[in-house]
Amino acid sequence: MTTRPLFPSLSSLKWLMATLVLVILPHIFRLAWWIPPVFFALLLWRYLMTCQQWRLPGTALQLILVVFMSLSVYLSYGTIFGRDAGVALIVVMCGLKLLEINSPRDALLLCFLSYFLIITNFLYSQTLPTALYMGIVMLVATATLISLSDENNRLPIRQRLRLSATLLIQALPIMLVLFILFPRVAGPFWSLPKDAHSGITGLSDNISLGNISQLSLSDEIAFRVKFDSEMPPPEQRYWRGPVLWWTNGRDWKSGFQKSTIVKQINLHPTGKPFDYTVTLEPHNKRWLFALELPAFAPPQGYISPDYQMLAFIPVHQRMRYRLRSYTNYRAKLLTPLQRRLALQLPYRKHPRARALAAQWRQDNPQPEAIVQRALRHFNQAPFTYTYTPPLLLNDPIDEFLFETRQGFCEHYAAAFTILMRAAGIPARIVTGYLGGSVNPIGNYLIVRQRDAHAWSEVWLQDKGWVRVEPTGAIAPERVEQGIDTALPTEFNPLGLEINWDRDSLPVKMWQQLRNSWDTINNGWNQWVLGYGPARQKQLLNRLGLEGINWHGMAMLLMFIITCLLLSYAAWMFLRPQLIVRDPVQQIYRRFCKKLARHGLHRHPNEGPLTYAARASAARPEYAASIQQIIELYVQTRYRSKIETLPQLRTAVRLFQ
Amino acid sequence: MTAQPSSANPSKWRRFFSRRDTPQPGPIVLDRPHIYILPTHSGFLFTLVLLVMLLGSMNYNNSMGYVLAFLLGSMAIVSILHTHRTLLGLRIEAGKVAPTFAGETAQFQLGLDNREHAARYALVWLRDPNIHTNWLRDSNLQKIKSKKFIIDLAADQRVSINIPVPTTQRGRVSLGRVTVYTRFPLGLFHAWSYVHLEASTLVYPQPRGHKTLPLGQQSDNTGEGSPRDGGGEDFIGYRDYKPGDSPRHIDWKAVAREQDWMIKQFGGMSTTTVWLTWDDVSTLNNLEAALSQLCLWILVAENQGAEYGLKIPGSTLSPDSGEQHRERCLQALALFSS
Repeated sequence: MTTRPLFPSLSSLKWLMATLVLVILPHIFRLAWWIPPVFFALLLWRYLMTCQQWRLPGTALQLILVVFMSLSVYLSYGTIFGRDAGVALIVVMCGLKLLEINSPRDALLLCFLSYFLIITNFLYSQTLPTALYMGIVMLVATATLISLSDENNRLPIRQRLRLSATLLIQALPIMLVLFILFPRVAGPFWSLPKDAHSGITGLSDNISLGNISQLSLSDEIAFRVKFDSEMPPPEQRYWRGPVLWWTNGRDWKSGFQKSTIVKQINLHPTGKPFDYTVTLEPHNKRWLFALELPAFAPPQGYISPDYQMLAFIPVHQRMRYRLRSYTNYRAKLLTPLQRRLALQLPYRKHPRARALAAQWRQDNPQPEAIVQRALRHFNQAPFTYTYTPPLLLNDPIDEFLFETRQGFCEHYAAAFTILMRAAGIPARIVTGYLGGSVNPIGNYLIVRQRDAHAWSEVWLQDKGWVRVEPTGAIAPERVEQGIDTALPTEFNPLGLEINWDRDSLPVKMWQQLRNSWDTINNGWNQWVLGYGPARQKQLLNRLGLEGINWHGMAMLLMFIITCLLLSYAAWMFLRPQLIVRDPVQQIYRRFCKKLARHGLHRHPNEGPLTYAARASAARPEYAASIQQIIELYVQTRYRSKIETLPQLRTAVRLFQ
Repeated sequence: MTAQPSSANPSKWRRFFSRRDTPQPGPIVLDRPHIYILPTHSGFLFTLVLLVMLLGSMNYNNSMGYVLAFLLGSMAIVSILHTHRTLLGLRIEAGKVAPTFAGETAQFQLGLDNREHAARYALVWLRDPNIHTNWLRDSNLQKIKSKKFIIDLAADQRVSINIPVPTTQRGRVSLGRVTVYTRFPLGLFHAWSYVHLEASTLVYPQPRGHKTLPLGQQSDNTGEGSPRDGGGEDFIGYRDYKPGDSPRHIDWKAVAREQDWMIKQFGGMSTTTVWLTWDDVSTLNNLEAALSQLCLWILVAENQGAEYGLKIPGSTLSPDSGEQHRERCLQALALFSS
C-alpha cells in the first residue's frame, strides 16, 4: 500500500471537481444516458482515493478503462467524431484523467480541458443565459487554476474568487479589442459534422393533411424584421415561404424544379415600397422569407419563378438581409408548364369536391365569382377553426369539406385550392408566416414559429396571381390580429389553466417583459453572435478604417493591446508608493507615547539608549521593563533580528 | 563630461550581470531589470489549447467560441503582470548566522520584507548549490536537489526564513546564490530572480579524536583547589548545600523538583591551564584529523572550566577561558592553512 500523499490537496481537488461538474451540467441531458452516472462514479472514486489514501489505479487498469470507455462511446453514438460523440468522449476522458492526476501539470491539463468543455457548450447554445452561466463557470475554473498555483493553499476562498474575477475583468477590454479587430474569416475550413447545426422550423417542404401541427404552438423565433420607416398593417404581413403545387390528395409538395434563377421579377408594383432588414434564425433550409412580394433578391439568394426567395446554401447561421417589398403588385408569371401544374388534380380523388366545384362553375363561370362563392361557403357552412382537428382517413379533402369541417389553415388552404382547380382556376398553396408581434421597445417585428401559416393563390386572367385567404373566411381574427386570438381558449402564454383577459394588467406586464427580453436578445444576436466578416467590415468602415488590410489590422490590434497592458502595468506598479510603515518604528513610537503619559517626553534628537537611561532614572520602578524593551528594539532595528519583533510587540503592549 | 558613452555601456552590462554572480551587501530589492519571466510548460500547452479553440470557433463561426478563446488569451497575458508583480519590489536582507561545525548544517537567515499593500503568494526559494564550484568539474553537484521553501507574505509583512546549508569542510561557507521564483496566479508563467547576498559564516573542524586532553603541564594555581563563592561569572558546576551559603546561588529549580539543595558554583579562577599544541597532534597522519582533535580538546577544556591556550603554526593564543576565547581558538582552527 502506498502512503505517498496524493498530489492535489483535498481543497484543490474539490475545486477541480466543482469546475468539472459545473461545466458538464448543461451537457447532462444531451449525453448518452450512461455517461453522467459513470462520470459521477469516477468523481466519487477519486474523492475517496484522496480521502482514504487509496492507491491510484495502475497503468494497465487505466488503459483498459480508456479502451472500454472509448468503445462504449463508439457503440452509443456510432462514431467518435462529430459534435455529440466528441463531447461525450471529452467528458469521459475528463473523468478518467481525474483518476490519474498526481502532479500539478496533470491538474492544470484538466483545468484546460474544462475550459475546452465550456466552448463545446457553445456549439449547442449561444444564448445570453448560457453566456452568463459560462461566465460563472469561467470564474470557478480560473479560481481552480489559482488554487493549483497557490502551493501552500493559504488563499481564502473569497480572495481566490476575487483574484479570479480581477483577472477576468482585466482581460475583458483586451478580449473586446480582439473580438472586434481580430481578422475574421468566413468558415468553415473543413466539412462540419452532420450534427453541427441545430435549428427548427414551423414549416416543412410538404403538407400532409391530418397530421396535427405541433410546431405551430412553438414560441421559437423564426425571424425578426426591422422596417426602415413604417410597418405594413397586420393583415398585409404575409411572409412568403415554400410554394406547393403538386398533390396526391393527401400530401402536398413543391413539385417544381427551381432551377430557373430570377434575380429580379417584374411585379408592376403599385403603392409605396417597404424597405426592411430581416434577421433570420438558422433553420437548415434554403428558404428566405420576404414580405409579399419582394422586388429583388438579396446577394445571398435568388427568387424562383413562383416568387419564393431561396438562399444559395442552407441557412445554418443567423442571416441578415435587406429587402424591398410591395404589398400591392401584379404578378403575372404563368408558364404553360406552371398552368398545367396549377390545375393538376389527383386521379379519381375528391369526387364530392369536384362535384361541388362543377356546380359552382355551372352557376357562374366567372373565376372571381367562383372564388367568392367558395369563401362564402366556408363562412356559412358550419366550419370551425381548431388546432386539434379529427383525423382524416381516406379522402382528406372530401372528409374535411363534407364531414368533419374542423381544421386549421392547412386544411382550408388545401381544400380551397382543390376546389379552385376543380373549377378550372389555376391555384397553388403558399406557406409561410402571417403576422408577427411588434416589439415596441426595439420597434421591430418578431415572427415566431407559431405564426406559421398557409394560404392559397389563384391566377386570374387580368390580375395575375391573387392571394386568397380561406382561413380568413372562418377565423378573420387570425388574419387581422394574429394567432393568439384565433387559438382555442385553453391556450395562454403562461401555460397556466387560467383564462386571461387580453387587456388585463398581468398579461400586459408579461408582454412588456417579454418584449424587453427580446430586445436584449436581439441586440445580443445582432452584435455579438452575428458579428462576422460582414459586420466587422461594416464597423471598420464606420470607424473610418476603410480598406485596412490584415497587416494593418494586426498592427492596430498590437498597438491597442500594448496600450491597455501598459495602463494596467502603470496602475499596478506605479501606484504612489505606500508610506513605508516599518513595524518596528511603529511599535517604538507606541512605546514612546506610553512613556510620555508618565511625563517622560522623548526629545526630538534623543537616541533610544539615552532616552531609556533617562526614563529608568526618573522611574526606577519601570527600569527593568524599559531596559528589556529598549534592548529588544535595538536588536530588532539595528541588528535586523526580525524574529524578536513579536517579542518587542508583546513587551510594549504589556507595558503600562 | 569626460566619460564616453561607449565605455559606460560595458560597465553597465557588467553591473547587470555581476548582480547575479557576485554577492551583494544587503538589502536587495527585486527590481524590474532583474526579474525574468518565461512561459511554463503548462503555458505552452495552454497556448495550444487556445489555438485549437480559435480554429474550432473559426470553423463553426461560433461567436461565443471566439469570445471564450480571446478571453482566455487575454487572461493569460494579464497574468504575466500579476506573476511579475508577485516578485517586484520585494526586499531581501541577510540575517545573522551562527558558526557551525563541519558536517552540521548552517542555518542562514533571510529577512523578507513586503512593503506593498498587496500580499505575495507562493514564493519559492531555492538555493543554487553549485554557484561557487566550477560547474564543468562538479557536474554531479548540480544533481543535488535543494530543498524548496514556499513562502506566502501578507501585505506589509516581514518574515524571515532559514535556509539550511549543509557543510562538509571546515573554513568559510557562504549562502551563495538563491533563486526565488513564482508561478502565481495561473501557473502559466514562471517569473524568477537571483538573490546573491553577502552572507557567510565559519565552519569549525568537526570535533573528533581519540586522544585524551594533554594534562601534562597541569599547574595548580590556587593551591587549595576550592573555588570561591561568586568568584567569577562563569558557571562551572554544582556542589551540595552547606549552611551559610548565599540564597542567590541556590538552584531553586532543583528545589522545586524536590531534589537536594544544590549550590550553583561560579568560578573565574581556573584551576587548570592546558596548552594545546600542534606537537600533541602531529602524530596523527592527517591535517584535518589533527585539527579535529584540537577542536575536540578545546570544547572539552572549555566545558571543564580549564584555561587553555592554543599553539599552532601561524598563531598562538595564550591560555584563557570563556566563550570569546573559545570562538577565537575555533576560528584559528577553521581558517588554518599550512
